[in-house]
Amino acid sequence: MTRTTRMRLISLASVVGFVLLWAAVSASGLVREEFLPSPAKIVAAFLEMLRDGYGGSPLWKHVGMSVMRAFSGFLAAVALGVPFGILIGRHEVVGAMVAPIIGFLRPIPPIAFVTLFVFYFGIGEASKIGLIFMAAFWYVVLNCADGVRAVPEMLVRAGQNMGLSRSQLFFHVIIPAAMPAIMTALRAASSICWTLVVASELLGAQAGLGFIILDSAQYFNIPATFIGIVLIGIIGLAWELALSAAQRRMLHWQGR
Amino acid sequence: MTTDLIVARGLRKEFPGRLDRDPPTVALEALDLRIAEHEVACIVGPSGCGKTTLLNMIAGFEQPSTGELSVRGMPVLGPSPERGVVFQQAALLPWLNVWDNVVLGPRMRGADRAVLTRDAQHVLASVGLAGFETHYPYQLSGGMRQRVQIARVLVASPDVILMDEPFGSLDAQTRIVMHEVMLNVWAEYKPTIFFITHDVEEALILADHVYVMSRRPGRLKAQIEVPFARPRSYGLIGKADFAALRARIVEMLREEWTAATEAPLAGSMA
Repeated sequence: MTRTTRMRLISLASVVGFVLLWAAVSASGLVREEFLPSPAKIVAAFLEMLRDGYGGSPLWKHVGMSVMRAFSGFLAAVALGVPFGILIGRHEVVGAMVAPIIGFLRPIPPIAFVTLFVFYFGIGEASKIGLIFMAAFWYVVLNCADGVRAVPEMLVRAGQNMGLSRSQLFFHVIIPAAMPAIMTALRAASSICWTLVVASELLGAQAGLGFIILDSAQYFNIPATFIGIVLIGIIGLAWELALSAAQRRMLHWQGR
Repeated sequence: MTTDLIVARGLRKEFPGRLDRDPPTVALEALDLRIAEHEVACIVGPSGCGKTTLLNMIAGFEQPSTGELSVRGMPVLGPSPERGVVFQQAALLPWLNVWDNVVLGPRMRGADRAVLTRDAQHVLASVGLAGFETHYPYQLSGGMRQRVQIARVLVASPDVILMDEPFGSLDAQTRIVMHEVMLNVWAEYKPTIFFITHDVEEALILADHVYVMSRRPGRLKAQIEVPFARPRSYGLIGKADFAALRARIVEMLREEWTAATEAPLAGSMA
């Protein structure tokens, strides 16, 4: 058995152990059933939800709504944030212009803008996606700018020495050299987006995993709350794994 | 009669102090230098004497503060593949394989595809990298990476190859192998080579002239002719005249080094 396989088995055993511990705790009666439903009960509730949906909508629609919101905010943040970040990283003057604004906005939790967003955009999709976008946007901008600034001077000089023009240097040296930082920024930004889905669905959503969590807790339907939480976890994990696999493939040279 | 390829006259380079109130650091002062075409010129000097600054100015990465610097009669205005640089650390593009690293420059300048393919194959064979075209830099040893850098420079048929302690971080055996690569490359292409080193033995194996620089601010202290006939081999190291020349240069360096450490520290290098 190779070391990797052994470590994977240990990880798997840890998951199984956690579920068993959970089942044991809820079976022991130490915690009231209403607060901590047993895994079996949650699985049963999940199958029921798969069949009947939740709150009048099928489960896939809730999942789809949340994914759509997170992904729209993410795409907008990437589409605008990556070029803007690169621009800031490359041009000292632009960087100096926006530094104080970003410096001020960055420590404010995006949730602080919820009420303003509702006031400006209503309680429809625009305010939800806008909130997700804003949280991810600054993150993408800052990390792309840092990534571009951190491109080793040696590589730039090597490119100049090859006789590359300014634009060739940009596209064939600076951008590829900054790609690891850009990809890392995108991964972190996508998890920020996913985190904010639940918060954005506080804004009067009628569907979505965040909606299931909020709505079910209000009616003490705790198994449904757990299902919402677990689904958010699983989807977030799958997305992160897919992105890091893509990064390892595309940037196989990174860190070596 | 050989022609001078690189000519420096009254070259001076100063760097501003770290803080506004700090005095500028003078890296080079009143430096005169002539390097002939096809010459292998090895530059030795104490640390911080401005060797790298001189190389960066010839490469066009930095401009002289005052004085004249020309290559083939033309003032140096900026970086160019005519003055190919082999950097100390691998400055290869890590996302490109060996082949793409070598051909990127010429391809971007619009080189003819067939000619470029032939040239690239040729230079890769010259530096002993045939068969490694699809390897990525991270799959190569330090010595192999430096071979790629040499091939990347050679493919552009430069006027001069500028090398900044290219083998300084390699182990002793690999360094000897790389010296043989350099001797072969020179025998085949006869490029002018401007080679900075700390290693006097390396300088004597490779050079036609060893240029000894003074401590900072760097000046040319001595230009020593290396009389050993080419093609050279490592057997040279055991010869008495090799040892004598080596001792003479080490003594010159020692004088500068001692003086530099006894002198009060005059600002740090930028």
